[in-house]
Amino acid sequence: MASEPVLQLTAVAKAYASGQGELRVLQDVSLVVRRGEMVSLIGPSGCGKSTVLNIVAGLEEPTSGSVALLGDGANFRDGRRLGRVAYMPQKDLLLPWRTVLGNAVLGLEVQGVGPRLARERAEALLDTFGLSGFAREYPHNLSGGMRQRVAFLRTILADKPLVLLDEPFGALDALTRAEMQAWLLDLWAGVGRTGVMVTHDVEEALLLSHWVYVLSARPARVQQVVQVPLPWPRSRRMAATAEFTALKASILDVLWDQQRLAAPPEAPHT
Amino acid sequence: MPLLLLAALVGLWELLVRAFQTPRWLLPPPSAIGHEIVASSALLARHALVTTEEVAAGFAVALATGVGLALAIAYWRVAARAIYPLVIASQTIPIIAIAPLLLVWVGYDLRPKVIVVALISFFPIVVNMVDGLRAVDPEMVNMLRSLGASRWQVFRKVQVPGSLPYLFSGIKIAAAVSVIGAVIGEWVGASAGLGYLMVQAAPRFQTSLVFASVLVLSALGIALFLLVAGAERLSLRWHHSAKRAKALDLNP
Repeated sequence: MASEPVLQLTAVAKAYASGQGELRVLQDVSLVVRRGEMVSLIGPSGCGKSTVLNIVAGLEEPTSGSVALLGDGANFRDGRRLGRVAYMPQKDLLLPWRTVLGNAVLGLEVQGVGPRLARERAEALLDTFGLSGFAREYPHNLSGGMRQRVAFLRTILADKPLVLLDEPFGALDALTRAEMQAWLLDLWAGVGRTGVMVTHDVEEALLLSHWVYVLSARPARVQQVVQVPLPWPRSRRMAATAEFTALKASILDVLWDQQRLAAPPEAPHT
Repeated sequence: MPLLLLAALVGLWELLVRAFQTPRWLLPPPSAIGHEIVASSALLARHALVTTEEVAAGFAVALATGVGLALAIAYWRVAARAIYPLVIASQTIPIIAIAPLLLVWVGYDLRPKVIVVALISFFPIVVNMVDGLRAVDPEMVNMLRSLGASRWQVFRKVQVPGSLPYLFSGIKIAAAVSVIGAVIGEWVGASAGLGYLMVQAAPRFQTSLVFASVLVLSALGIALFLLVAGAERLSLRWHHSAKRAKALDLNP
């Protein structure tokens, strides 16, 4: 699969000024995401995975190194990335004063799509996202899984060539999480998305992506790049194969080494 | 429940006044106050209208300056440093002391009363609105920015609706105190209004008229409060249904 790259990070480093000198979060992160591929970032907690996504989304700028969003002949260098990727943060961040539908169309609304057209496009997807019949509910009436799916719908509807997912299922219980992974696999099979996903679950990373980037403890470097040899479409059953288990074990070994190096318990959330 | 308690207290008052045969100029029974309201309804209505005008105008001024100041304080660091402490300091100055000065400075008409009402009721609006604007989740702002929203879009879609419940809390407090402001304004110098009526009636021992004025004033304050609460209910449906859901523990 050698389609053209959509995102290219080259030697990205990020440091924040802190009390004593500087806090180095990213040291050297290079990665490529090609069209139609999912890339997972996995690493010890507090290693700066979310910072990578914030940088790609354009919310932050790297201290050094370069970020390039490519494709369709466009080449958006530093500072022009806001609104060019669809970013789904860790928390669902639904606006409590908007209904499910109102939250879903937020991205389209910001782009200036007319309210009627935006609503039609959201309504067409409600069923796929398991939200039919809930269009007019407020977020506080929904379960955690449903809220997450609304956030997902908002992200997908923003209709960007690149999707960023920050621990999309991190806040859910194990069963809902497995359910959402299976659902996401179905969705992926249908629309073939390009994206970067941050997770701390090795199984989730292997199951949902083409490439897994293992990051080191802070300051993060790319420690290992694994191409997942599983065929598409994926299913949860593949997690039971010997090949999968061996791959999972080898990644976990690298992660454990790094976790020991990582800052002890008080490490901030990624 | 509060009405029941009120009725009991009023009944007790009536009984005691009759039992001890208290003179009417000292403490009239509730029934006499009731008669007074009916007998002087035209007089009360005329003065109530004047007070209502002062309250309405002062309240409008307070709302406009309050929201404006809150926006400046929340989004402009210089204003937060320079203006906010002065806003707080302004509340430590007794209004009753400035009211006569206002009379000297701006005149004897409606304006000093409007200023007193505005001075007394802009404060809860500013403080609550600033809290509301500052309470907005920065991650929500970032989420909108990542969708490509401009600062103005972020303001309209997140900051404004997010701070509305706080603003309404401020407005409700302002509504309750604005009537007090009008009365203070009228006490120091006026030729009409319920506060004026009280000042005129008290030295003439028309005590039941004083009580009647107080009742009408209180009704005015309650009406204004209910008006604001109703507007809040209409514009913040999501907020009330969220509070209900929390109360019923639907979303632990």
